[in-house]
Amino acid sequence: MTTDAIKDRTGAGVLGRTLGRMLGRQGSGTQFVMGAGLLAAALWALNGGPFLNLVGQSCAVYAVAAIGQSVLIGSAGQIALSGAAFMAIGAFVTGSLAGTPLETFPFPLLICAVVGWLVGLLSGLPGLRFRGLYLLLSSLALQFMVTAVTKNYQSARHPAGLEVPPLHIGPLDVSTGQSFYIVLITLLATVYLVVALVERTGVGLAWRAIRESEEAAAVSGVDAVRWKLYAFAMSGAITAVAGCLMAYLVGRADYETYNLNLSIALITMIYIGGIRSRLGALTGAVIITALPYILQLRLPGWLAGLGIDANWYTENQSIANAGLFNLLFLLVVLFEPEGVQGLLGKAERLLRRTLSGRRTGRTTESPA
Amino acid sequence: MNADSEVKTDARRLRVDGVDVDLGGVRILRGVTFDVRPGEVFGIVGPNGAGKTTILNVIDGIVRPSAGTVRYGDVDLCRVRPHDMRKHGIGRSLQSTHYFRDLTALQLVALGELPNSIVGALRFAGHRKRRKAQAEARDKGMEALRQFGLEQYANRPLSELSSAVQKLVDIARAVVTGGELLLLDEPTSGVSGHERGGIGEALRRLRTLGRTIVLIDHDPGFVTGNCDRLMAMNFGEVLDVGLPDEVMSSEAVKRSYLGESANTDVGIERDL
Amino acid sequence: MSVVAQAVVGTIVTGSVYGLVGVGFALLFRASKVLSFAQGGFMLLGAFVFYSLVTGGRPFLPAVLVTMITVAAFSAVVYVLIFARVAAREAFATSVATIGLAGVLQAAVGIRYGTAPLSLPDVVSTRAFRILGAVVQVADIVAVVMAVTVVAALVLILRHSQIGLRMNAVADNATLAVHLGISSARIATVAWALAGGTAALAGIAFSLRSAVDPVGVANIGLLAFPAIILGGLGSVGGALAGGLLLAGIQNAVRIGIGAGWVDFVSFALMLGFLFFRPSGLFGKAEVVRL
Repeated sequence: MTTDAIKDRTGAGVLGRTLGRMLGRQGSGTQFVMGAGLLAAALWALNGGPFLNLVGQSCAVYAVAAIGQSVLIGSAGQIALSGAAFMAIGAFVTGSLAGTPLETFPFPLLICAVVGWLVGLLSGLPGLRFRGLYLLLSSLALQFMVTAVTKNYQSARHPAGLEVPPLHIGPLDVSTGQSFYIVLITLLATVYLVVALVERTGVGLAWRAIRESEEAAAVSGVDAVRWKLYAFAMSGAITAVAGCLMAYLVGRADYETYNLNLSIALITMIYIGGIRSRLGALTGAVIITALPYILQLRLPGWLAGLGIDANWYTENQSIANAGLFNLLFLLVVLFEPEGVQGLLGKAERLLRRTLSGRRTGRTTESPA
Repeated sequence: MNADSEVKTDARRLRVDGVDVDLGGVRILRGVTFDVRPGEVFGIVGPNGAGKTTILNVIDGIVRPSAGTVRYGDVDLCRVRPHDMRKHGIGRSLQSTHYFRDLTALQLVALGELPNSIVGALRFAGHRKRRKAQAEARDKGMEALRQFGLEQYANRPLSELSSAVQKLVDIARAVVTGGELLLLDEPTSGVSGHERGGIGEALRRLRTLGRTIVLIDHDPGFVTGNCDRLMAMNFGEVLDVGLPDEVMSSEAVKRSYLGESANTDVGIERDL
Repeated sequence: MSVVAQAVVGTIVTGSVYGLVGVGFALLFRASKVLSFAQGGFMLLGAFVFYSLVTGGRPFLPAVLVTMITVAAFSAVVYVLIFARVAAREAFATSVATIGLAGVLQAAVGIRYGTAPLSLPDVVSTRAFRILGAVVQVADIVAVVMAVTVVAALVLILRHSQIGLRMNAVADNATLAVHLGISSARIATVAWALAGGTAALAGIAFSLRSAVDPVGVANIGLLAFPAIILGGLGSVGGALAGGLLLAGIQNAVRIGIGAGWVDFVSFALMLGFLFFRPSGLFGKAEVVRL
């Protein structure tokens, strides 16, 4: 007893207790593992040369988009198939600002956010009339309508797509390699923090209540209509920002990039990572973005090692990947809706139970 | 509780007049008329599907009637949105708390204290302000929990609590969000017989505090024992209103209750 | 005159295809409150199974029958193996998951047959008639006859057969139906099989007239959504009517404004209906709060 008390007063004891308190809660270990893994991956991509930089850049852009979707689908519980439409809006706004006085860097980003917010707000209006499947259908309609508009605009004015100038911040060229990666990661971190702050103001709890049951939330004094609309608006703004970054990444805005498959890929990301948290959205974005690169590099080798001819894969790589993601999506939605985070959480619970079981076992054995 | 709200309570009477509700081409309520006097515990009984929960939904603004009026004092409740009901002193408990099983008891009780506008949320955004606002919400929630002797559950998720405690927490939430007029939707459903006493006790305490209560319940004993007046319904219509013993002994009500026992065997799902 | 007449013929044929896909949506929705995004996938499967059979030298009618039965059985098996346990609990999650199923089917067909458009050899007669200035091919007539027969048969089945009556009971009140001893899982299995079979027919009807490729056919499946919303979700006859109406509007837009606006107008129309008349033109006026 007394030795414990003395130990507690030392600095290491305080640190240990704080850490212990932080990790004491079920789920915190999972968050720790996911956060540390993402951080390690981000640092690895930073110093891994041009190719890894490029992969890291895509991951960062898709991560922003995934956060945008997770606000709406994960936090507020409103499923939508229009992620790619909002990215298209961001990309095309950025493309049309090229050559105007507003092409200087932070402006396209801010304008995308505003436009995304407004369109998001509009896209939430059907949510006031109906929810669930009908809302899903209305977001599908939005996706097709945006594709049609961008396609018509593009084929009338810029058949090869809208060109986006390389990214400059002031006099600095940050359009490629490490510097572009750093810019993207900084923006990602900013978006992550902004959403975290917003959700901490009580909005997060309101969204959670709406997700569980709108009537019950309203009865409890939550303005369900208002917060639902804001979820649509905020998700639209963030996803449009991701579209803007995407345009800088590929140097062009082309309607073909932002099709329904991309919308599905974005939803797959947040479901695979873990629908309930932003950390899950990030993890899912990294998995889904990086997996094709890994498969491209390694799978033919693995298959050859197993004595399987890998030609069918290399010849149909993009289709095969799309099929694989869709299969993952199907399985995750039906059988493990909490995704990677859910699986890690289960492992953590098991570990905790084993550990605490051992500990209590020991205390009963030792004579008091 | 203070003098001010006492005066208000005296002035307010809930009047439901000629309410019809149509959903999906089916008339769920037909010409429902009753009024609830201030400070009274008013029970609604009837078999499943009689429209009891729909009445609460109408009073609470979740379902808009296709005809008729609902007034509380001089307020037309048909024009008030559900989350604004608390501004008029109306609180509602839920038939089931399973929606919010992830929230802690304190979070559930404090749901109504969340900001309901961007400005409100921004006010929450500053670190010190947020702390202050959150502390206030927490204090208010804790006080409500304490009223019902639930403070030891404050930081436990609802899913870990017994259904009786969940119901009490939800009643505490209704008391915080509303105040004068409480709509209690089946407070004893899913609660075992010996735990119902705690809920009855909470009800009696609310009554001595002068709250007006509209109560729906399945347990006839619980309703007759706790209500000043009863209204019996079947097929969306009012069968009888009066003193509990009179209503329960009327022929029409007996017949509808026999019908109910047949219905409960198949266990038709209830809404909300 | 001949442009209009040709557009009318095109409308009837395309509308029949939409109708055939839409009927499956309506059935599934009635039986299990699941909105399947995989109908386009099953349509695709039907088109390519049929393609394999026909290029393998099978005659037309047996090929149609084998295709229908194969895809129907496959659809039912997919339901039983993957969706059955979850579907009863979560119609919404199942609906979302069918998006994934559609992608898997599309990828499987894409890998097996490639993504380039394939044209069928002439399986039905290449004769064409001239009616009121429009060229009508035998294939057109076959497609329309298939659609009308299937929809009529389904309407009759739903109205009069034992399984149809049970399906109606489930559609009206799933919980009550369970208590009346109707196995909703069995009803759903039948509905999935029927939906797969009709989607396969839609695929065949489509492939009789146009070259088929995975992306194009799957898109037809998605374009059937405006059709069923127009007709009224859950109404089998309405699905065909909605399909015809949508095809007519699309042709009018193609001629009047330009082909680039067909999708836009179709989905804008769907959005409008969702907003102002969610039960569609022929659906029952029910509370649409899913």
